[in-house]
Amino acid sequence: MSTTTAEMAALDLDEMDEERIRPQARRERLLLALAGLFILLNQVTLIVARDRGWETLWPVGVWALCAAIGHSVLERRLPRRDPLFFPLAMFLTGWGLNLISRLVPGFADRQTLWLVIGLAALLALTILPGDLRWLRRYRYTWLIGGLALLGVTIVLGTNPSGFGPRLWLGFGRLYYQPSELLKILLVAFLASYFADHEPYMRLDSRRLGRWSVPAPAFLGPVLLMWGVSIVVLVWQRDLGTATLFFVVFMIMLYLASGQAALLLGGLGLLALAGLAAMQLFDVVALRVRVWLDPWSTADSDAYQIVQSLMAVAAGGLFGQGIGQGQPTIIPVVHSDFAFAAIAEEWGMLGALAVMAALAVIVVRGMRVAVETRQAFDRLLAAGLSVTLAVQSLLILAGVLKLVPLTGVTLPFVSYGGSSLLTMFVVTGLLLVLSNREKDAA
Amino acid sequence: MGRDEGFHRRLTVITGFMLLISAVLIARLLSFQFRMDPAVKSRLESQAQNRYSQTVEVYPNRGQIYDRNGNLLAVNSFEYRIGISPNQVVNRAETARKLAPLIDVPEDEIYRKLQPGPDGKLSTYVLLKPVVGFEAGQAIMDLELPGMVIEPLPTRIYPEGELTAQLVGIFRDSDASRTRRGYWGVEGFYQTLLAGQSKKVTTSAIPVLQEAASITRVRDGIDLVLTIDRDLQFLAQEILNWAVQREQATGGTILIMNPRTGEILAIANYPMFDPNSLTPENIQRARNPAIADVYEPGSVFKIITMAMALQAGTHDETWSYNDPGCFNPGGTRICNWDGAAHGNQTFIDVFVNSWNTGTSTIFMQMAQQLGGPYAVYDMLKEFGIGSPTGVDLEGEAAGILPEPGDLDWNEAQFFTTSFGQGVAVTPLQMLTAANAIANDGLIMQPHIVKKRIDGNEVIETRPAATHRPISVEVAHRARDIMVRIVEDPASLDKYEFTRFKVAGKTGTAQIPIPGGYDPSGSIASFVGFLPADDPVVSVLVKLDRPINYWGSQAAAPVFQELVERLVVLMEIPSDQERYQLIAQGGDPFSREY
Repeated sequence: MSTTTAEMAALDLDEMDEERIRPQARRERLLLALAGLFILLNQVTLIVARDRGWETLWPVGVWALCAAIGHSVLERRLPRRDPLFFPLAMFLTGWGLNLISRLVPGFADRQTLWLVIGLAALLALTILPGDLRWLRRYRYTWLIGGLALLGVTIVLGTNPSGFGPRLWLGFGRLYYQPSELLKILLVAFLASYFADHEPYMRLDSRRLGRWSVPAPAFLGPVLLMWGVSIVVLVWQRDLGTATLFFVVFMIMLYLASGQAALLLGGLGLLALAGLAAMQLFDVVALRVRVWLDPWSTADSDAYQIVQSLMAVAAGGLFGQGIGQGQPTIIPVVHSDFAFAAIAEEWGMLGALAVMAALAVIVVRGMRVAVETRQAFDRLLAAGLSVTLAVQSLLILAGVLKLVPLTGVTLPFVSYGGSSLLTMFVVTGLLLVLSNREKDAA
Repeated sequence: MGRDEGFHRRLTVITGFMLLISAVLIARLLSFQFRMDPAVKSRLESQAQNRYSQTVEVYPNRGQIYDRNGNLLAVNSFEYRIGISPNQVVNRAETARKLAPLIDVPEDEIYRKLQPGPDGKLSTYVLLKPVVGFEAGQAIMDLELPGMVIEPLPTRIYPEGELTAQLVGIFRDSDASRTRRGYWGVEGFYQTLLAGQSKKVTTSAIPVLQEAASITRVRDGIDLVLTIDRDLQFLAQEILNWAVQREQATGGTILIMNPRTGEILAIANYPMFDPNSLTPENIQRARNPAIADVYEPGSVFKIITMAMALQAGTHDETWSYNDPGCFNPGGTRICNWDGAAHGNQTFIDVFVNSWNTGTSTIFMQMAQQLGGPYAVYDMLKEFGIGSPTGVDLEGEAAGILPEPGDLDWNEAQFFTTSFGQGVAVTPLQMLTAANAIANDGLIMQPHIVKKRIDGNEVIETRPAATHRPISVEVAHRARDIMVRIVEDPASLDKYEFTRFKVAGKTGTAQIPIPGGYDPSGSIASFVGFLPADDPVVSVLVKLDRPINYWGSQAAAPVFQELVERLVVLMEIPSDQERYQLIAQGGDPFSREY
């Protein structure tokens, strides 16, 4: 009898859970279906507009398969997850597939493969032990490992296009950019370090006039690790990622310590670093020059940004339609300028939709941070969200010529396997964290 | 909880800050559609001219060229100029690997061209291959490689190749510009008609709007049907090549016309020109010697002298003179070809035996009786000597007829002109003048275009008479003498044409060189027409520096060989058949020739 009661109780509990979870699961399914419809429609329109073969529909098929598998695995592993992360990530990635099929048809198969790899990584995270202790405990190992991988890149790095900074490691036909992985590892390291030292941060802080500054003993190791990351990136001329690291670090430091002065000071330092970089690196000076005055060199140095502005302006409210604008005039449009291509072919509404989707992921990520009590988890959730947000803002502002171009990708949308994989890992971590949030509640 | 609140507040600050930046971004995005900075707007608009609209010249289809039976002599096709914009190339290695076999440029060379310049910048255009063929161009288009710049170049295919190259002309780049046009022959002469009217059209690069922007139509070029008969052309070329080989000549021409209409039926020259090769030595041969090169015609010219004398009335068939062998009129020594004196010779004897002393005497007497040499020159000009015939081929030469008062004229030349020395003509001029005798005294405008086809409209070229140097009656008398030249048993130029009466005259011209004449070679030629009493075809054969010095030995047999086969091809009935037909009330030449 007792067993039966227990079973009954378990059953009741399950039923209660079902009651609570089902609307969430349904919402995720609905969102995925809508996203799928949008992506299918885009691809069909592209085929018709550009006179492509119907076999070019296959990335959409793979996408649908990924969405179905992802949804069912997540249902099983993370029943209490936030239902928005996965559909939004898949939505942006599918849109990116449309865009890559349209801009560089030859790359569509590789990007689709990276989607599969990214999804596999995301699902693998959900299978690992639930509390992410593995990430927190071995923070130095992870970060030093990541840095070592980056170090290997300096020696063995290549560039898939055969020129430019050699930031990639080649594995057959696939290339991976270790600095993308480092993004996550650095955020995890900072979250772990700050979480462990949070209680002491205030106690040890020194007062400097009105401002209190964390003690050197506390800041030392973290500054060292961060400094090494920045130096390696700068060495590799991966200045976009270096800028991103700088900003994310300052924000996480502020979140952990509560010292607004650090944030302001950090922004000042960023400006100084920018000025120094202008002196040191031709490419930085060029980008700033082009940003200040694109018109005098609109046919040469500023060609890319001017064509990008033109694309954005040409899109109008509703866009030219997929395959019917001229975004390919923008050099390497499929990576840095994916947003401009979207603005041209899907119009201002398309651009706002991309921004909105990214913003929702970030805000939901922030919500995870708010709703979680454990210091590591909430710092990790906040840090990952901030990384996603800062990267998005950097490239959007760059494409719209509000800041000099930094050369980071538009999350999920731009062509690039490393970037896509990273974003799927970020999504996976946020999904895991969002699932655990309810445990604590 | 206090720490939590602090953390939440900071999260809110950060999130709010980022939303603020997002708001700025959205405002910026909106500004592009609603309130754009006027300075930015005007600049973008000027840039947009290049991006969203292209002013391109839309080329019409060039007119095609056919022979009189509708065989194609010139058709349109495309070649492509292959360039690339390195700044738009996505994958250099792949681009180079895929392009290399198609444009026949080494892979590493393409790869190198795609690299940034010394200043580290990628250029916007690099020429990879000036010309590739139609198939290669299509294959490159199918690759859909980013950054490719594929410019179509209209080009011509000449199905008959060398056979018609000199008369059709060629279509190629001009030295000055990158646009192509016709040069030489029909392609050159009718460039404007063939080219049609191109149009500068500003097209929108946006596919949906493209159609609305280009409403007006370009005017295609006009198709041309030539008077040339491809089969006859082939025959003429075959016989000429055989003759040149047999006589080891350096060059030659066979020109076949219809004296009744002025139509040119065939122009064969040696050496031939290859329309598909642009080597300098080949290009040298592009000009058509039958209209562009002048030569001293020699004794063939005596038929003009004969017709003029008859027309002037100063001489007739009963005239005779005492042949001295050599004599010295006007301060120059003139001798017969054999240098011998032959005593009393009649007017007909002069031409049958081709006595230089006889024609010189006739010219001298004409000048005396007509009140000076000017009257003689006026008559020569009536035959079209010294001025271009006006044939519709590019590059015609005028010939040289020095007249009293010209710097290059002297009195001796007046006498030598009577037997074709000191005067230079093109083969076409010579045959056109001879055609006056064949065509009852009328010179018909020589022409090579029979019809112009402009869409549904067909414009036939009407045969047009340009001169009447001699009367019908004189033409017939001159023709009879030309028949005698071929038939007279005493004639050196005697040939057997069993089925036809043929009128003709040989010529052996010395080749002028500075300070005199080249003793080592001659230009042997023959001019004739048939059937003599109702000519439908006239022929000029000319061989440069044949082994056999004399026209009667070198050129006349070629004429004979040609005529034997030509009458079969042209279905000219033998004289006997023709007379039978006429007796039955038929008109053997009602068929169009």
